[in-house]
Amino acid sequence: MPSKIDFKTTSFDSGGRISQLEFSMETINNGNPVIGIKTSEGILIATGKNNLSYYSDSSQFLTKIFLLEENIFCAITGSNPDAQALVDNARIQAQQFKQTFQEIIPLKKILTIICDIKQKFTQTGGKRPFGTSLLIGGFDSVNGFQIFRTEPSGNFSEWKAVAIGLNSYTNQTILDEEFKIDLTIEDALQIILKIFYKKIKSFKLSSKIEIFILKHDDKQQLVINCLSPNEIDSLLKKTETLKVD
Amino acid sequence: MDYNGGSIIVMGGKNCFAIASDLRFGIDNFTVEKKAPKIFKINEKLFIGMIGLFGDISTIRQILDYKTSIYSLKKSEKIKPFGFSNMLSNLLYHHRFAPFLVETIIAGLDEKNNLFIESKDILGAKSASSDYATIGTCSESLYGICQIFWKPDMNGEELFKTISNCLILGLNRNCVSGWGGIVHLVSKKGVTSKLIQTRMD
Repeated sequence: MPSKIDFKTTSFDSGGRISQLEFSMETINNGNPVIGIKTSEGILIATGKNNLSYYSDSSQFLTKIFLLEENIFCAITGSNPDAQALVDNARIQAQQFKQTFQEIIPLKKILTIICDIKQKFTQTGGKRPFGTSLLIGGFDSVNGFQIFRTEPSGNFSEWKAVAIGLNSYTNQTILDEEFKIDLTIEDALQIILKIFYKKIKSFKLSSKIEIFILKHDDKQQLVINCLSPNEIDSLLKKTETLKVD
Repeated sequence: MDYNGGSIIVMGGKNCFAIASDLRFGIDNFTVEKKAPKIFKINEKLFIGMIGLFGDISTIRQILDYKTSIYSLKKSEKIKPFGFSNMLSNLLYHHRFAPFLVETIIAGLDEKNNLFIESKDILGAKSASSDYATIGTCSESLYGICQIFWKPDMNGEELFKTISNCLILGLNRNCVSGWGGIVHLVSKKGVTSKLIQTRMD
């Protein structure tokens, strides 16, 4: 009986590459831009939001940052439905770990769970890889703040500052220039503005980006803050006054 | 149900409620621990109390932790008492033919600070009430005692006195519940918890 499974998506070509993985990088490079910066005080994540027309009601579905557990978040780019499937699966795995061991899943473990799923789809019959790149970050009592980037091949790497999605090459170059070892959260916010502002000069910043900050508050509790639109807009005013001076 | 022992009362007041349990954990007629509360906090305004086989109590508590975490991660809001109660009933009835040997009580304040008190049997059948509910080894006598002492629209202080009296009266006559009690008083301002003295035997 002829097999209905197409094995081309999971085989190497003569150049030693898997073509579907290369193509999935195209999906990711067309997705929304995501920047992650790790400082000694905490982690800053900024994502670009899609343009919505005034007759669209989807404003609540725009968010690209999701919580996987109370101290672990995940920012997505590329194909949204693919990423949502991974996020849902990761949440369930994290809770199952917690039910068995009665402690919060370590960051590396949830990362390897997600990457194992991604890798499986590049090797077993006939399914295409996930067209998403995830930025997973959080705080661990063992390793402190961490940011990881996952790729459709199932590869992951840890970063201090990383850009994925649209214009990731340009943004990563800006991060290379601006990143220093002892950044504060304020400095990191300025870098984010530098990356996003030059493209959206005349528009309201808060409708174009969302910013999440993960840090410890005074009582050493982990706090995840989403900056409100007013706070994002006021960031812009600070930079403008500085430029005038 | 008498194997591990224990009793719980919930009383409703004016936009507040009090939930009280004894602290004994025993194996048949041997007392193992005297600091085992049977009331668990789900979030600031939602409490669940469980009496029955202690292994099942721990398991149900971990399963509920799992489900409420997934709920709050997906919906970015905390679970409400009505939804939580239905989730628990589904979980208990799911094991219709090999049930969890646990009776449960849910007490909470919904988003408008209205009272929500429900007690369930081992298969998840609900019985809602607005005044008081009891489960456990002395629940029958506690129902009678609560009926005498409960008044509508009590505030926090009166509620605490009434529920403590009822609990002490009930526990003192029952050998499988006792060894001290704990009362949680919950209103929209927050939670206060106090230990109460009973007969220590």
